[in-house]
Amino acid sequence: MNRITTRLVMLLGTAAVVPLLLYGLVSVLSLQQGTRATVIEGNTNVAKRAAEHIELYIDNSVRILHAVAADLQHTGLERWQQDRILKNFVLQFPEFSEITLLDQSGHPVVSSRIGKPGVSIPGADSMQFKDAYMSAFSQDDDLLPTAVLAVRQSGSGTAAGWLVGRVSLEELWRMVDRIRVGDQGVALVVTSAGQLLAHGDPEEKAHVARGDDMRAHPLVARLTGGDGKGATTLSGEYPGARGQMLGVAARVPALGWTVVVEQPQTEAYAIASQLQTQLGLAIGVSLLAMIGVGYSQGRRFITPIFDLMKGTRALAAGRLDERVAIDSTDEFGQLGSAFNNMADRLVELQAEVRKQERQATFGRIAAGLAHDISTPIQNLGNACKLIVKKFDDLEYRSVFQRTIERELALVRRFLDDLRQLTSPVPLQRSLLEVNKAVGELVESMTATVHHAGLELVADLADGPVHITGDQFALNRVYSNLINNACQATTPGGTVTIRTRIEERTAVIAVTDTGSGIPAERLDSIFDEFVSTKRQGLGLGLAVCKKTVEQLGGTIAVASVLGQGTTFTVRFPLAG
Amino acid sequence: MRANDGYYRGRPAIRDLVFTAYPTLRQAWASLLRGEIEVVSDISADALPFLDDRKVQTDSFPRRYAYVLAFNSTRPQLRSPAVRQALNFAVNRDAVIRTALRGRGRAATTPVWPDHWAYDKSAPGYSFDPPRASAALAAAGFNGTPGRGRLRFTCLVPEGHVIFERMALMLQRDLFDVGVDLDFESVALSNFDTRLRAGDFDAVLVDLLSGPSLSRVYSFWRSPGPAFTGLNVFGYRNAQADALLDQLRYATDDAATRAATGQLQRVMTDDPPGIFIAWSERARAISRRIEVPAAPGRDPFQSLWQWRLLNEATSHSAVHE
Repeated sequence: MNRITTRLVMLLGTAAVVPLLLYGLVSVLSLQQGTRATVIEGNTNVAKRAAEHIELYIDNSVRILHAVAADLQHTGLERWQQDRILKNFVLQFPEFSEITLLDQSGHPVVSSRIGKPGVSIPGADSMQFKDAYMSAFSQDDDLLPTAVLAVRQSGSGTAAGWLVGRVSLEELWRMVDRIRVGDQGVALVVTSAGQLLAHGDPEEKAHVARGDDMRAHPLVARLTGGDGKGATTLSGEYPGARGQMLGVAARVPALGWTVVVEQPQTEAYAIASQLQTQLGLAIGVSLLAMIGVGYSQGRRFITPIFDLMKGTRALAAGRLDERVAIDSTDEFGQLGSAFNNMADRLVELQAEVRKQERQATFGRIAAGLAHDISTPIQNLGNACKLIVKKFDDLEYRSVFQRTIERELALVRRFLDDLRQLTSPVPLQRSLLEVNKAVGELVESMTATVHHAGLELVADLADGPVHITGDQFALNRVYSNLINNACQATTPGGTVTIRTRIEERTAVIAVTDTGSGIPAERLDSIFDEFVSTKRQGLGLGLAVCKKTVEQLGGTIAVASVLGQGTTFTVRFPLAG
Repeated sequence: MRANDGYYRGRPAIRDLVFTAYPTLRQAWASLLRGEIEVVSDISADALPFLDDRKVQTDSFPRRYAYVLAFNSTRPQLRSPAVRQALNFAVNRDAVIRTALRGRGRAATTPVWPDHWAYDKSAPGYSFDPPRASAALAAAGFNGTPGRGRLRFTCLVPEGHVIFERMALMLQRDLFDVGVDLDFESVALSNFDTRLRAGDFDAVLVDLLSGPSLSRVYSFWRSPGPAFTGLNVFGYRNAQADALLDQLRYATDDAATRAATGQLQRVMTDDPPGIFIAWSERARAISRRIEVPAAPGRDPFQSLWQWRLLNEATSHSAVHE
């Protein structure tokens, strides 16, 4: 019963649940990988555009300086004219707060400043950008970021030297501030010296003011360290102040700066997480629905099978009133109807068989009764007729008396057997000595057996054989067996009763030299109303078997046609 | 500075203020971020978009200071009210505010603070009108031709202040366009006051306190007299203005104050003591350890008596200035 359920569950699992789970797993993995790739690609584009913008901004500032230089070089302008040009450029390009022309030794020649020039040639900590030099960035008195750019001025005399400008990097701050990826994704810019130039997170701007060294930033370290040699972009996940971050970094090639765009993973993967949750819910609901439908349909499939099996077992156990209740109209319903029809038919057949059995039994009983009763009655009748004629014959009167006693004994025996079978007398158990009982019985029956032309032999075991039993009942068993043997043996034959002990068992065997019993009848020889004789009820052996088994013993028969039959009774030894 | 327990609006919660001077604003800001001080008193409003920090609140507010190119009215070439008026028409104040002040300021016309309750909004101001300026200058004998035909004067500019310098350059360009040569002399702050008090200047570019009351106007522009010396180092003399300033100083009637203020605006527009360029905007940076009543557009210092230190037993505060 469990096996078909197991198979059905496995079918549902392999056909629906496992594929659905696999689909969900593959979808989730694909979603996570796809989202990560998309986010990284998008953020990398943002970082690269920012890097390009930064480079463009610095490049434009250098171009402005070059334009100023072109106006000053080889033009033969007076000092006041150069002064005017510088002031005009500063007014025209507000990102420059100052442009000053320095001579070869770094002394100011002309300046856009009204007061004392505030710039000098960038020192050793400067970096080269194309043909210009750029200082480290610093914050001016208004806390805004600036850097000094310088281009070499060729020419002779005062025309040779450096054109130096202080350029505001405020635009870079604005650009970084404008970069927002989602709600929490921000950008930061780190110079080649590790100086934090800008940070898009308001909470982190203090690091800019403090000029924090950002070389330890995971992405900056990788991009500028050994891992990132030659790479222009890279990505990574690392812990940050706002939790685990997903970051990308892009190099500003001409400056060696790094633009990092970082976003908390919770936000970067928020859509994926949401979709993942929805997918999980959908799969969960589908699974539940599938299991529910599977359970419901499986139950509808299995229940009729179970009902049919239960009905079949009930029929096999003889409970022919069992019926199955399958009310569907499908094949199971048809099968259930067929089963019930079959059971109805079996009931009818059983009733018919019983009726026939009853009729046969009644016939056999009637015939047995007619035979077993009629012969003694006829003998009694004949004896009564003769006694009327020979009443004065003393010898006959003796014969009459014996005849009457014998025939009445037969009738009484028959009636006892019948009563014993239908209403057994309670057995009285006591310790018996088998040899003694058998010896006395043989002695009592010898005359009768001899009279029938047979020899009755007692072959008793040496020493006493004690069993527990009912003396009266066992005597009836022995006499029954001896009588049967005598009846089955033709005159001149021998009936032998033996006793012996075999492995703590008392064995009593009655053997005749009769015609034997056919093998096909041996199995039913102890059944009621079965007799080896042509007439009679056949109650004797049935009563014997019943009595022996009630006393805890067994009875068996062995027969060879034409040679004789042996009935063997076994009882456990007493004690 | 110690709290005044008898302050009429209530006893201040902060008991003492300690003022510390820093060489640069950047150092003061770093000190504020480190938590060593609680307030930076004066920062550029330009930097506000970049100064958001979880530890610091920043509030910008219109200052009562006006950027002024103040004339020395005793100089012959600047003695004429018509010339000074013409110079006012030559300046593009909006461009100066947009470029030099990055849009953080309001155009000024006179020394009267525009948020003063008696300010007369209907009083005429100056438009950017170079042709009118040129015509007025020509009428005054300055037709723009080289030599004596060009008005020329020198302006003192405080040394090392980029905003002043950029503003000065813009003024120079505007005035050059109407035939005026404006030269500059960069003067160290330490020497600035001496030069002004000595009258040793043609003009000066300054950031002049001119509010919230009219007393500042009185101090700077009332003609000195036997009973009053004031701060009028600019040689500005206008009897009508003096009378109005006197009237305002002793006025007890709102209507009279309004009328006199409006009249003063008109008089000082007709006879300007300088080129009032713009009312500036600045910002205060205050640690979030201090609870400051919200008052957008107002100087947070006005509610200083209501400030409260959060989560601290002592009430000490340091102010950068």
